[in-house]
Amino acid sequence: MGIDVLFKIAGIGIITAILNVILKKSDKDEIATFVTIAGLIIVLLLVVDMLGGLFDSLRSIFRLY
Amino acid sequence: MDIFKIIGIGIIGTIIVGVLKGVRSDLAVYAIVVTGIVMLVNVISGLGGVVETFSSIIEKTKLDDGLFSGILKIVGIGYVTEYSAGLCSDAGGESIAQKILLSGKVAIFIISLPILNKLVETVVALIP
Repeated sequence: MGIDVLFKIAGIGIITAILNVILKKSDKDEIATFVTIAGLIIVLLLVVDMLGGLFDSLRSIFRLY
Repeated sequence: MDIFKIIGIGIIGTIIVGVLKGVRSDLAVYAIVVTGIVMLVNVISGLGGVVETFSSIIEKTKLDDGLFSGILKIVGIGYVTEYSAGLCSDAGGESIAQKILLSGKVAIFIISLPILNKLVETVVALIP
């Protein structure tokens, strides 16, 4: 649970932005939107997973059942 | 629970949020959420021990442990609502943050009722 997740998200963001520009230049706009959505979904899964882990550990410590 | 590590994570997080806002603003919200999660996980690692020592002290006083678990719940709810309200207001959902704070207050109020009840009982028992 370190800082690497943060860099992963930054990497995904930058890569998808670059892919967007490339795809838009080669006038494949619909694939560009797919790439954007794919990036969003990947990051969403990552974040939801971490959030679940955090709330589980919070619940176990504070006995918030 | 090293404070410098947490501060470092926070600063790196804000930098990454700045970068993401420029490149892809929709992912910036995720970066805010993840920074919060990583910092809170580091903070919580130290909190488990505190709770254990408190519960052992409470056992010595032979108090009803319902009180202590109630207080623990209130503190936990306070942390969680504070954390998520800050997150939502950061990500732009100001009204959502207010609603989270309101629901946190209501939850704390509901949990505090049995404690209040016990207090009144003991007071009444004292009066001859």
